[in-house]
Amino acid sequence: MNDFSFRPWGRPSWLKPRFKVQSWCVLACFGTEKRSVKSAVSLVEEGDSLIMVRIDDPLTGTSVEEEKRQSAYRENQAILDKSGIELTVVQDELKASLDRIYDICQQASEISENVILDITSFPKRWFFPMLRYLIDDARILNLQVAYTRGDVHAKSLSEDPEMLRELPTFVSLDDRTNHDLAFVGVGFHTHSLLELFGEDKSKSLRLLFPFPPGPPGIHRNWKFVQEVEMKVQKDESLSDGNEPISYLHLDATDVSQAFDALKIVTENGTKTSIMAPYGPKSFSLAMCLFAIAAERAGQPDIPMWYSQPQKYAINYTEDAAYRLGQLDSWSYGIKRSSRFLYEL
Amino acid sequence: MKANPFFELYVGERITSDEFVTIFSPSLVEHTQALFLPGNIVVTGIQGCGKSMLLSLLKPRVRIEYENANEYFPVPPELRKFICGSVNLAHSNVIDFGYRSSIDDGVLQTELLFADFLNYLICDSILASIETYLESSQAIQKEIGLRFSSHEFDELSVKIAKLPVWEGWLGDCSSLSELRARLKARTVAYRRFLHLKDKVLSPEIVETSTSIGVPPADLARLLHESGAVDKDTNIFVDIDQYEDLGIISSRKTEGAKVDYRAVINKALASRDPAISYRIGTRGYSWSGHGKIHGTDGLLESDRHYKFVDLDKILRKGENDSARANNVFNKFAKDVFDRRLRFADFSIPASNQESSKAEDSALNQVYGDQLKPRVKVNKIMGLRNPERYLSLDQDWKETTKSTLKNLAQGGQLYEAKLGECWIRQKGDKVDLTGKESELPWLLHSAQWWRKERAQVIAVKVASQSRQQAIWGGAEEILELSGGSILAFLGLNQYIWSTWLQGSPQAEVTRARLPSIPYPIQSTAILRASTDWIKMIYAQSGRSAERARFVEAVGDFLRRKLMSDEKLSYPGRSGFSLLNKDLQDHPDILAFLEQLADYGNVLMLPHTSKNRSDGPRTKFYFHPIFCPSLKIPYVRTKEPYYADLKEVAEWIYDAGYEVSLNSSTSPKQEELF
Repeated sequence: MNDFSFRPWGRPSWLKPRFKVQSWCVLACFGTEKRSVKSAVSLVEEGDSLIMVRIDDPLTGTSVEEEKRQSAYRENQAILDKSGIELTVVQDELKASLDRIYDICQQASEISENVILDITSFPKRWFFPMLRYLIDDARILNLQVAYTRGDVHAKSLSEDPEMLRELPTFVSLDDRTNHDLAFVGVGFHTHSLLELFGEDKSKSLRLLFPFPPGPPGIHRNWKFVQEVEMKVQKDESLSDGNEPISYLHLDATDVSQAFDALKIVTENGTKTSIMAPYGPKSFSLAMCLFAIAAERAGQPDIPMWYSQPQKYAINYTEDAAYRLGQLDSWSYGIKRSSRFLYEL
Repeated sequence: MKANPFFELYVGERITSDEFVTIFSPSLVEHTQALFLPGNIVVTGIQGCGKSMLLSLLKPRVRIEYENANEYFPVPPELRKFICGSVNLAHSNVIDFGYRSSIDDGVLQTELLFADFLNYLICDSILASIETYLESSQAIQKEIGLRFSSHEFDELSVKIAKLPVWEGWLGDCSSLSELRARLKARTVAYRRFLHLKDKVLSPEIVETSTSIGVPPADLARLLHESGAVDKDTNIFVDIDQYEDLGIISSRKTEGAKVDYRAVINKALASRDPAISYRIGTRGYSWSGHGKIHGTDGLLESDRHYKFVDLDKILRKGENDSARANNVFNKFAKDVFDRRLRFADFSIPASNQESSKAEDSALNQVYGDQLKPRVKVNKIMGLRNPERYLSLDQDWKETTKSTLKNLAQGGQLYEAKLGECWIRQKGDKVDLTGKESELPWLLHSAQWWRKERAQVIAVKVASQSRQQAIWGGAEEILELSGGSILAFLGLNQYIWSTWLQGSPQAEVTRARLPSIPYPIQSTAILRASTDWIKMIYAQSGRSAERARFVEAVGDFLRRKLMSDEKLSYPGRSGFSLLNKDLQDHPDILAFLEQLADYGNVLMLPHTSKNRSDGPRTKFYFHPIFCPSLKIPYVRTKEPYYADLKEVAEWIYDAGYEVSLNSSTSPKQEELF
C-alpha cells in the first residue's frame, strides 16, 4: 500500500467543504452553452470570487449564425446577472498567446490561494496550459478542477480542424518521433487524428474507451473506433508481442482511475508515449495531469497532439445535465495544502 | 494469415524492409525524374495523389531498405547521387511562434527568428541523413558520393562549427555527434521559448540569428569543398507541410502578419546552386502565394523552381484518356498487385508483364468493365421491369408496346433509352420493325447512347428505390479520380466487406478471389458515403466544404432526375465564367480550396457559348458520386450556374462570401 495516493473527487458540494478553506476563486469559461455559466454559478458560494473568460473562435460563420451566437451569449449573461454574483469577465481569442493565458491564471492566484478551475466549456488549448500554470504557481495552496456534464450534444461539436499540432506547453522538446505507446481518448470526431500515425511511430496504440459509454455517445464512440481500426492494421503476422491496438475501458468520470491506467501502462512514465486528448474531458484531464506529473518526475516529455477546431458549435450542449434535481457536476482535488496529488 | 491487404500500415515500424519495398510502387518515378535533379522543385497535387510517397524516395532509410531487401532502388542509377534532409514544419514546432505574445510586437523579428530556427533544423536534418548513410553499405556510400568516414566527419565537424555564419554560437565541436547536439540545443531553446518554458529567448540566439537558407548552403558548400561528398552530389532539403501554413488561423492583430511562407520562398528565390529545396503542396495553395520575404517580388516558375504537377500526370483529361491509362491506371494496378503480394496472394508473373487490361490482377478480382446496360438489365434484378418505364398516354400504342416488350424481355436499359429518345425527338417513327433498327440503338446513335448510359443506370436505381450498382475494375479506377488514396480506400472497403461476409475468404491465397459485383457495389457506396464524411476531418474550411458537396450534389441530382428527356446528361457538374470568378476572389478562393483538397475537380471548360468568354467547370471527385447518386462521367455540357447562385450555395454551406467585385479574399491565414 506504499504507492497508495488518495486523490479526492466527488460532487462539488461534497468535496469543497473538505478542503476547509474560507474562500475560493473560480476560474471558468463564459461560453455559448448554458452549462458554462450554470456550472460556474453553482460553484460560487458566499465569499468566493468568479473570473469568467469569454473566448472567441477564429473562424466565423454566416451573419445569421453569428447573431445566434451573440444571442446565446446574451442569454447566458442574463443567467449571470440573475445570480447576483460579482464577477470579472475577460475576453480573448481562442488563439490567445500563452503569455495572456498565464496572466489570467496569475489574476486568479492574486485573488485567492484557493482556485477552482471549471473546465466545463474551456477548450483544451486553454485549460491544458492553465492547469499547468495553476499547479506550478506556489501561491496556490489548494486547487480543484470542476466539470459539469451536458445533456444533448450537437450533431457536430466543432468544425474546421487545423492540422495536427502539439498543444501549447505539451511538447517534446527533443522532437522525439519514436514512442513506445500512443494513447488516444475515444470521442466523437477523429478530425485529423489519423495523421498522427504518419510522422510519429509508436509501437502500440491504446484507446481510452469510456465505459460504460451509455447513450448518446455510444454510437459515435464506436464509429470513432471503427475509423481508427480502418487505418491501423490488426494483423497477427506482424505482431512483435504487442497488440497494435488495445482498449482501456475506463469510467468516464474517474480521472484518478484514468491517471492510474496511464501510470501502469507506461510503467510509471518510464516508457515513452504520445497522447491525443480526444474523448471525454475527464480523460483529457487525466492525460494533462499525467504529462505534467511525468515532467515533474523527470520522465520523458509527453507530447499532446491535437487538431484544433476553429469553430465550436453554439449549442455544443443544449443545457447542463441534472441528476436528482442538481447539476451533474464533478470536482477533482488536484492540490491540497500545496501538495500536488497526482505525482508519479 | 494477413487480413485486409489494404489497411494502412500506420502503427509502428513493424514492417520489415522486405515488406516495405513490396508495397512501395515506383510507377511515378519515370514521370517525375526532375525530383532527383539539382534545382528547386515544387511537387503539386491534390490530397492523396501520392506526393508523400514519392518524396519518401529521398529519405536515406528508404534507400537502405531497398538494399536490405535486395531490391532495385527505383531511382535511375544516374540520378541517385543525392543527400536529402527533411523538416516537417508542424512536427518540429517551427511554426509555433504564435503561441507567444512577442509575435504581436515585431513581425519582422519573428520572421527572422523563424528563419533561424528553420536553418538549424535543416542543417541538423542534413547531418542526420549523413549519419544514417555512414552506417550504410559501401555500395550506397559510393552511389551517393559519400567520401569521408565517420572519423573524417568528426574532423570536419570542427570546421563546420567554425563557419562564420554561426557567429561563434556553436562553439568548439570535436565530433559530428557533438555538432548535432549543439544544433539541437538551439532548436530546444526555441521550443522552450515558444512554449513558455523560458520567458525570453536567450539574447545570444537573437543576436546570432541567421538569414534563411544561408547556413544550409554554407554547410553544403563545405561538404563539397572538403571532399566529404563528391562535387556532383546534390544536397536536397524536403520541407513538409508547407501547404498547411496558409490555412492556420491567426490572432486578430493590427497591422502586418507574420508570413512564414514568404520566408521559405526567399530560400527558393536565392537559387543558391549549393542546395536545392523540395516542397510538396496542393496546387492552388501554392500558386496563390509567391511573395518573397523582404522584397516586392514574387516567385517565378522555371526561374526560381520547377513544377512537378502530379495532377497533370495522373488526372484523366478530356481528350487524352490514353495517357491517363498509361500513368494512373498503371500506377494503381501496380499498387494493387503489390498489396496483394504483400498479403501472400499468389500473382502469376505473367500478370505483371502483360499489357492487356483483362490479365491484370485488378480485373481478375473485380471483373472487367461493368457496363450500365449490364447493371440495369442483369445485376439490379428488377421484377416487372416495365413498371419503371414512364410512357405518355399520347404515344402510339406500337411505341408503348415496343418499349414494354423490350423491358419485359430483359432490356429495361434499352427501353429507358428509347423512352428518353422519344421524349426528345418525338413519337414520329414506327417502331414495329426489328429491334436492331430501333433508332436509338443504331450505330449512328452510339454517342447519344454513351452520353446517357450512366445517367440511365442512376435514374433506374432512383425510380426503383434501389441503390445504383457500382463495380468492375474499370469503374473502380474511374471512381478513384487520379487519387491513389481514394483507390486504396475503395479497395479497403471492398475487401473488408468481402472478408466479413465470406467464410471461405481466408481459405486459400493460392489463387486470386473473384469478388461478386453486389459486394463491390455495397462497399463502394459505403466508401463513398464515408469519404464525404471524411471531408469534415480535413483542415481548412472543411465543414463548409462538406456541406457544399452534400447540398450541391443534391441540387444537381434533382436536376438530373427531373430531366425526363435527358437533354442535359452532363449536369453532374457546374460551370462558371472565368471573369466572374476573377471578379469575386472570395468565391474563387473557396472553390480553389475545394479543388486543392480533391473535393472537386476544377477544369477549363470549352463552352458551346464561346461569346461569353472562357469558363471553368467543377465536378465532384468521382468517389463522392455513388453517395450523391449522380454519374461520375463528364460528358456533354455541365450546368451553367450563375455566380449569385454559387454564392448562395456557399452561404447555405455556412460561409458568407462577398458578392462585391474584386474585394481581396478574406485573410484566414497563419498560425
